[in-house]
Amino acid sequence: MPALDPADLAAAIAAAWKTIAGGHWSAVRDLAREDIAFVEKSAVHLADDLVHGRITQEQAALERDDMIESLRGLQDVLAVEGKILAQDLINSALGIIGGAVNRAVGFALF
Amino acid sequence: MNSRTLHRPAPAILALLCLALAGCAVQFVSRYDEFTDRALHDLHIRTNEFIARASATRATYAESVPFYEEAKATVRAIRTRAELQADNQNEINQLVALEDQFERLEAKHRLGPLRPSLAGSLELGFRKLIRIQLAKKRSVRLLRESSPSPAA
Repeated sequence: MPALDPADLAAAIAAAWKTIAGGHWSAVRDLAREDIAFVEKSAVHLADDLVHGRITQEQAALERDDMIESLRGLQDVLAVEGKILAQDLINSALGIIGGAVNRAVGFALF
Repeated sequence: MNSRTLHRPAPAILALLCLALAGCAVQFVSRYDEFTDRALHDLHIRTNEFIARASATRATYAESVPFYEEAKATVRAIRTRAELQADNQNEINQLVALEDQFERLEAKHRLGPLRPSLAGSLELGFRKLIRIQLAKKRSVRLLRESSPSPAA
């Protein structure tokens, strides 16, 4: 029967956490890069339409306010990313420990 | 038996072991829901088609009312489903915001012809909800990839 080795478990958990954290980190990085770039591009199009008389000042002002309001909502996306990261880290550790315990006892206890 | 084995496990490992023994898988965010993801994707496509068409044809607000009514009803239906799932408040917040954004697009359209540049904030609203769906989907995949092999 294989022994439960905390050092081996810790190493396995660390490796799993690296994969999980890396995946979530690239998502947060993309969120910052792509969405901020999108807002910049939108502002340029808005200004261009206004300058060329394709939209009114009133319409442009409403869209500017809406864009600011919409940016505030990014906190919900970041909150979900953070919660899922914590959830995935904990559950992966539980999975690894459960698997090690199962191997140690010789049957699927968890 | 190795001296590092069960005799003196690290406190963190011990704490996690206790959780495992209690059979606890934690869940801080509701699970990925394929229906929600697909419904949002369909509404996003329909909205982009509408904006392109309304901009090209200079459609009036009055001509566009059926689209707005249908879009808001779709968001409300998605929201109802989201509200039935536990730990889903951030997504619900964004669905409420999306319905508001459709109403604000209507307000801009009432003032004159619609242009894609007036729908950037609405697009950002969709992007946030899509990112939430992707985060939930990624969670399922990452956990599978990082899971140990099953018990021997």
